[in-house]
Formats: sequence, C-alpha cells, structure tokens
Amino acid sequence: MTYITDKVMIMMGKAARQEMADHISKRFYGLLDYKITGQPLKSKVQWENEYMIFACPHSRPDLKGYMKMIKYPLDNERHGLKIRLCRFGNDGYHCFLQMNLECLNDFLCTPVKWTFETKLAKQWDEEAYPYTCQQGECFVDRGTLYETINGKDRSKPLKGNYTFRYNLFDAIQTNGEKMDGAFSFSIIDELNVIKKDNMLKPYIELNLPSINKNMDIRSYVHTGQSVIPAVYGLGFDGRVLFYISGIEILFLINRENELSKGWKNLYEKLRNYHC
Amino acid sequence: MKNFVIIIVDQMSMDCISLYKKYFKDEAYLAHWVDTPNLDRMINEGVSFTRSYTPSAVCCPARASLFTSRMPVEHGVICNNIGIDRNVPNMGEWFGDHSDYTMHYCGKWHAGGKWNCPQKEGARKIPGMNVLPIGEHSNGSNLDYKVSQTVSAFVRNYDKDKPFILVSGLLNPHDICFWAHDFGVKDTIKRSSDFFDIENHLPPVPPNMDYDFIEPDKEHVKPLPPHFNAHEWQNYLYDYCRMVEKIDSDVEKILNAVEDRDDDTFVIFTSDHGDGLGRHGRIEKWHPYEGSNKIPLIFWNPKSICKGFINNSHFVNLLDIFPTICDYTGVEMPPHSRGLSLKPLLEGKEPGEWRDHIYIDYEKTGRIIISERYKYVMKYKFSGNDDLQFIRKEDGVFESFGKGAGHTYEKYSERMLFDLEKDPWEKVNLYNNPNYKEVLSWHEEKLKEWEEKLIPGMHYDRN
Repeated sequence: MTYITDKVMIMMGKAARQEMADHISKRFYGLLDYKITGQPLKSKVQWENEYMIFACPHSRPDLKGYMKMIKYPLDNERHGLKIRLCRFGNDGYHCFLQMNLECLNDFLCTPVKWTFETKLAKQWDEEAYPYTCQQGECFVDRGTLYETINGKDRSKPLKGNYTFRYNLFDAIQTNGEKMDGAFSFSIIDELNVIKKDNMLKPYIELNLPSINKNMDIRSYVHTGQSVIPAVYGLGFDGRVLFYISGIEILFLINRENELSKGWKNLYEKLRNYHC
Repeated sequence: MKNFVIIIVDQMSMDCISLYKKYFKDEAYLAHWVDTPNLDRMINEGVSFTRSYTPSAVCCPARASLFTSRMPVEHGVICNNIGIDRNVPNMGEWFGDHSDYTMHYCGKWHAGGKWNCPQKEGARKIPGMNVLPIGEHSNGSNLDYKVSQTVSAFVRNYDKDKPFILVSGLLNPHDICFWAHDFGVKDTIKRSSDFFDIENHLPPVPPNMDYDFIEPDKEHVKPLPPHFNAHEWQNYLYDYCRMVEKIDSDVEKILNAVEDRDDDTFVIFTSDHGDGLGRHGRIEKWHPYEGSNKIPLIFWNPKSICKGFINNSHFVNLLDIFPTICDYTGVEMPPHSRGLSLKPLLEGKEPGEWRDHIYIDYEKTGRIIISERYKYVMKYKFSGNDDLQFIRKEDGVFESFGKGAGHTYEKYSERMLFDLEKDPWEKVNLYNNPNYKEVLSWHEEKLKEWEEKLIPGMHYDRN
C-alpha cells in the first residue's frame, strides 16, 4: 500500500478537483460541487497504515462521520484489519462501530473471523449510553456464517465469494490494477447482514490535470442488492480516493482546512487509535 | 409481559415487498423488482394486511395519527411542521400515565414540529418518550445505520422486567426525494443505466403514466416531476427499490435482536405513507392514489399471534396500532380514538363489526373515502392565506379547516371516483358517469359522517 492521501489531493489542485467533481456529478445527484474544491493542504504529513474518510451527505455537509482502517500483516495468507466507524450525532453522542477482522490475502480480502463492538457514546473510550452497547464475534466456516452477539448464537448460510462492506475499500485498493473484469460476491454489511448479488466491475478512467502533471483516476462500479449504484475512485497510486452512492459520499479529505476545532479533537482521537 | 417495537419507515409503498408479488401480479408493481427477505420473513411468520392505509399521505400528519390514533384535523397536524395539539395525548404520554410501560424513541420522528429527529432534552424532546440520542440526519443512508444499530442494542440489553414500547424511525426509502429534487434543479443527473449494466433490472414504467381526467385543484397538483422520460422513471424506480432493500437489512438487525431477547415482544412494521412511484406521473407523496396511500402493515410475534396469515379482507389503518397495543396491554384506549384494535385479527378471531370503508386526508383539504370496491376523492377550496392562518389566527383563537372552523366549504367541481376492482391503476374517472350516482352518494354520506364526527384540535405547539 502507499500512503499519500494528502499528497494526492494537493497534486490534483483546485481546478483538477473541480473537473473531477463536474465529471462525476454529472453521473450522480449533484454531489460533489462543494466537497472537492477545498484549498490545498498546509500540512504534507503522510499518514501511515491508516486512512480517514468523511461521509458527506450533499444536503447536510455539517453532519458527517469518519472511518478509519488499519491494515497489518498476520502471515503469508492472512492480514488483520481494524475498522472504526463513527457516525456523528448532534445530541452529544456519536454512534460507534469498531471491528477487528482477520482476512485472507485474496482478491476480496475475504474476512474469515471478526469481533465487533458498537455503542452510542460521547467518545469511543467513554461509557456507552444506557442499553446501547453490543459486542459480538463472527466467523465463517464451510459456507456458514456463525455469530455470537451479547452471548446469543446464530448462524446462516453464506455461499460463494463474499467480503465485508468496508473491506471493499481495502480489496479495491490492493487489487485495483488486476481488476480488468466484473466479478460478483456477497456483502456482509454492518456486522452480519448478508446481501447477495453484488457486482464490482471497471468503470471510467479519467486523466486529470494537476499542479505538476496529469494524473489518472480509475474507477470501479458497485451494484447489487440494496446498493444504489456506487463508484469507487482510485488515484494514480492505487489508493481509494472516493466512494459515491446516491446522496452518500465517502471521501478522503484533507484535515487542515476542513476540520474545525471540534473535528481536530476527534481527529486526534483517531490518530491515537492504534492496533 | 409484552413489549412492542414499532418500525416506521418513510415513504414506502405497500407493493414494494417481494413476497407480495403473488398479490400484486402485474409486473409493474415493484414487488417483482425488489428482494426483501426479512420483510418476507415477517410476513411468513406473522400477520400482515394488504388493505392497510395511511390516514394522510404526508409525513407529519400520518405520524401524528399513528402516535395519537386521531385524524389530522383532530391532532392538528394537517401538514408538515406543525406540533400536535397539546390536549391530545401521544402514545408515550398515555402509557406513561396509565401503565408501567416506558416509551423510547430512536430515529426520525417528524410527527409534529419543524424538526425531523428528536433530541434527548430541550425543544426537540418528545413529551412522554425517552429519546435515544443518535442525533439528526436528513438522509437514510446515514441515519438508518445508526437507528438499527442502536435499536438492536437496546432490544438486546433492556431489562427483562420492565415493559417497553420502542419506536425505530427509519428514513429510507425517503432518500428518493433527493433523486428527484436534484434532477430538476441541477440538470446534472444522468441515468444510472447509462453507466451501469442494469438494463435488465429496471422496472417497467407504470401503466397509468398517462390518464385523461382532470384532478381537483389541478393548478396545485404537486409535486410535478421535472421532465422525466420513461427511462428516467425506470431509473427512479430502480433506485427506490434499492432503498427499500436497505430498509430490509435494517429490519434484519432488529428482528435478530428481538429473537435473541426471547420473550413476548411484538415487532410492528409500517410506513407513514407511500411514494408516487411514477403512477399518474408523480413523485413523493401528497396524492390521492394508491401508491401514496397504501402502506405495509406487518405484525410479528411468533409467541402470540398467527403465523403466516395475510389478511386481504379487512380495512386497517395506522390509527389502529395504538388501540392494538392498548388492547394487548390492558390499558384503556385514549378518548375519541379513531382506530380499532387489531388483536382479534392477529389471533385469527372474528372481530365482530368492522369498518366498511377507510377515510383518508390528502393534502390539507382533500378527502378520500375508500370502500369495498370504490374510491371517492374530493377537495375543498382552501380559504386561508397560509399555513399559519389556516391553523391559528394571530390572536390565538383557534381556526382550522374542520367543523365550525369558520372556513368556507366550497368544493372543487372536479372530483374522482375509481372502481378499484376493475381499475386498480386508477385510470378511469367515473365521477361523471350517471351509472354511479348511488355509489357516489353512499361515499359522500360516509364522508359527511366523518366530518360530523371529528373534533378539531385546538392547542398547538408549533415547534
């Protein structure tokens, strides 16, 4: 993996970002007018082994969330993935989901077992709002998904290829160059919900001017059960830069100009989240 | 001890559940184009109704009716963003005063007041209900994950010895509104099928896109979709179906949590209203047609009610949920409740006398009577200047479009009568057909009975 998120955004430059926004927004619901046109970063600090994505609903840019993923090797066949997702609330509490996954080093970064914790809390490391904490363990064995949530067991069939929703970012990032044809799979969405008939396939390629040189952006389209057609965009380094679906957008974003004081505090929390 | 989890979604028409394809056989119905295994499961393991209607195809009026069991003119919320009459108790206040039940709320509220999502304290606090503070979101893609995650945790963890009513307010498939709004405004949207290989998955346009009758208040028929061609309508419907499937996966999380709780907990699934779905060329709600007015209503509790019974015969309504919970908990019904307890129907018993028609408001002054076979639609001319005057004069004296409210009662000359048995897509207006005079007078009489019975609300909290 490469870790030059901020650099990519800087190199694109305002005009290039606007062009990309224009190009993509013509295919979606007018989403990107505001979100990719920020000023270049002051800081060029690179992030290692992590990335941060803001959810930016078009109609309410003040209401966002973040996701952080940390990938680390386990052995030749497997890697670990830690995900923390925070959907912000405006009532003093935020909705957290944290997962630790063990995944195969295969095309879809297929998760074989994972643990998770969810809660409604002011901060991740603070006490949960009453009755809102869940903890669970899941694993897949011979086509069956087994889960234990708050001590209760359940299983359900899971056939064929599958991945976890947020693993798709990792899968595309890791394998983008090899993706020259469509493939289908199931998604395990938010802990344990299985959605079938998902499809990922190559989409448009853009060559956009940036400050120093042109840059290529490749993209992949995701369709399937409960998925409003979505696009993942990759920068020239193979890194996933954005995900757009209907009115939802997840985007790698600079942290200096977009973050208010409150956001910076959250960002510091995020940075202090270690494996 | 029985508990109740009410899942109310936003803008989901009844025919958008895959199992219902056997009842909605025309492939233009969306049941043929969605995959909703968890709603199917609720239907297969519970009791559902295919003649269920909203009392008003607008968010606030419909939701306020669910939580008060009163018609819009009575609780006062005849349009969006008006508070419920303070003298009309909501479900939380009622059960708090008359039982050991506590009521908890999570997600979209929009049953009175200008705000969509409630807060724990302050002006957005819901009287009588404990709000789970997940905050606000205006789109389902973000809000609904928070709701289903929080609700499922609450259900798993809440004390076994404390009875509860919990509302899960999911926002999708309301996100489809953004699709349509931006289409006209930004002129940037292109069809998904231009870029994605989904042609074979696009639902057909409905067969009633074109109709040759004039609707009441034709100058203000809304909202008019902006320049959709047939292919764009198909894309609209395709995305709508995906949003319904998102809801279905949220339902799975909540159902699993209830199942893990392993007690006598009901899950009730419904929607505030449906969507235009391109039928009669409409988007969103507001309309007098079946797409807007017919809503899913499913009860699930394998321990207490029939399994796999789909009721195709009885008219039911959002108003019935409150009395049904009262009946199951031994709590008396609130005064002037307009709903009926569904308990006998849920348990496979004859309910005795049942309603032979449904009364629905559409927009502020439109009225609908649906009988065994026909639908009658009329509308009064609005005689107020704006919403504020319509509800309350500036000096605080109550004024509403109801009995004795001081408005004129002039009716639009255009009215509609449909034979839903022969014409389920509502394409032929029979109002001026002399053969239906008796039918018309029967429906007009029923409407008159309703108007004489309703008690207009008085004291509003406009926040």
